[in-house]
Amino acid sequence: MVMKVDPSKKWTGPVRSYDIIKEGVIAVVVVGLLAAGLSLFFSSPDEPAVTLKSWAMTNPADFAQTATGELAGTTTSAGYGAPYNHAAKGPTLGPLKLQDWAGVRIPVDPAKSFVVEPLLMMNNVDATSSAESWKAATPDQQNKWATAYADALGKVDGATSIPDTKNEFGPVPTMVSSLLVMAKSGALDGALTTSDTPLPTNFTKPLLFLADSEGYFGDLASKQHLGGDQWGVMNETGSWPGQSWLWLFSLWYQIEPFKSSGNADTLVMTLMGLLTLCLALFPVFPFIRKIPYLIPIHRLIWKKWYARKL
Amino acid sequence: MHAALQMALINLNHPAHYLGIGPFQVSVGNLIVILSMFVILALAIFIPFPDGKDN
Amino acid sequence: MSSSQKNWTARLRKSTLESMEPQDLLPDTQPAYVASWIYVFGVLTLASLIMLIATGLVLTLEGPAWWHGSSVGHFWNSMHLWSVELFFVFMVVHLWGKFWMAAWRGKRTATWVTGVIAFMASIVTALTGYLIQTNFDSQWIATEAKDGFNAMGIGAFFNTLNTGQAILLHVALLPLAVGIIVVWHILLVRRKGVVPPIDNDATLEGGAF
Repeated sequence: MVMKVDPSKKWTGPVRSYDIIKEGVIAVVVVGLLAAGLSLFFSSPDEPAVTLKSWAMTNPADFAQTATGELAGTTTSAGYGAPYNHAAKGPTLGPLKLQDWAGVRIPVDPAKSFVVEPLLMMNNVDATSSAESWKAATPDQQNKWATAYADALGKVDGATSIPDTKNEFGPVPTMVSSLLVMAKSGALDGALTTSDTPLPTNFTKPLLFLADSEGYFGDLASKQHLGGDQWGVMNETGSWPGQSWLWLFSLWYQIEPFKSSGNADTLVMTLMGLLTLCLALFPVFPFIRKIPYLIPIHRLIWKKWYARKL
Repeated sequence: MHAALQMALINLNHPAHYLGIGPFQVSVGNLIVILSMFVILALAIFIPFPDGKDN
Repeated sequence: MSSSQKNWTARLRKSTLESMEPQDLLPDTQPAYVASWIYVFGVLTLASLIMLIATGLVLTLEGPAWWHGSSVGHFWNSMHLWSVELFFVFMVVHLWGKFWMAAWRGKRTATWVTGVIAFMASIVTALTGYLIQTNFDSQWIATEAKDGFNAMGIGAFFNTLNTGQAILLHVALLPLAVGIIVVWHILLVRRKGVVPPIDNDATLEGGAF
């Protein structure tokens, strides 16, 4: 018996008995038992959250350098551009400036938000007056002070403050030392999360500040193999499996031309969008739609059916 | 992490092992998950399906 | 005829209720060729989604930080995490199986496309889940993922650093979206029936594949 069947037509050939509800119930029970077994055997990861306090306590020198960098405008967030500020145009895709076009919808001025405003909240005359002197100075003067202090701090390993022997740092050393005191007390975490709303659910400011830290936050992530250049997108803390379904997304960041491109994020996101479109279009994609015919794995799947026909 | 909360028979709360060559790096945890998908596909294709009653 | 073509209600009824027999929706028979373990991975993916919703609802009972200090909370977090891993494993095996069966044949393109959309929506939903763990992993993923979304101009509207936004997206909008796409996908499968084996395929016999 050779049957010619149009797959778009309803099946009228032989059938076998089947119980879709029973199958569904069995599947839920099986998956439930599997998940429970895996949970009992392996549990799940929970590396505690870090704070500006834990940063200041663990690596005060990195904190002082990053805070100075915020004032000097040299950190990642200070030079980010949209959606936080106008410091840069951000990555582009040819003529498309997608990041810039979306606009500054989440305004963050790192020097002001992370350093100056919290200092003005402190119940300490040195802290508030140093912040006031900073505010009163011209942007050019501010930049000279902060850049000079950043250079000086960078030259002394582990330093959290440097004496101003040549009178070139202005209020910056006092500001940074005061902010370090504030961070160590935990008050800076509160100040940054409650600066926009008294009951915070948004952690943009403290997370942007933390993400500017290479010696603490970035370092903790690298140790857990979570860095973008370490396939970090698909990895998890500890030894648990992570988002392995992001393997292809993660791959591009490891190879050229993406690896060293300033536009890597735009390029990879666009490429993944196009590849996803291709996957959706497999049914009409030349060649790819023929692969299941050329590599006949279906012969194994429908082995019984083909045997029965013969 | 709080030890009592872990309650796992097998402790995975330690630095992961990574395998790979050059830029290709994968954690053992992720590798097991990825390989298991290939193994499951192969088993699904090769293990005979129990006979049903044909009508 | 033309009046019922213009009638929205009649058109909706025709394309939904009248496009399917009750037997198609809840079948007690299958074509005889549906006899392989590869066919169980769709329902296993669906079962994992049901487990995800159930364990996720348990986690909502005491809030996003519950599981850090409670062994019961931690257990349900583990259940939720392993359900995610199972969900993606089963979905990928399902996708591979359908590819090797060229299951888009016979006007089933929409079934394939809704499956791909469900896969992508699941990836975004999973990401927001990772964002709301309220631990170091979620902090790091938020700061990394922001660059990807910002680079496409999406970050200005979906801010990964805004934990409250991620919580609400993960618990309400995104599971709803995944659920709707999955129901649509399943209805398309049930309406068309399971694709027949390849050499029964008239389009192939005609050499026009």
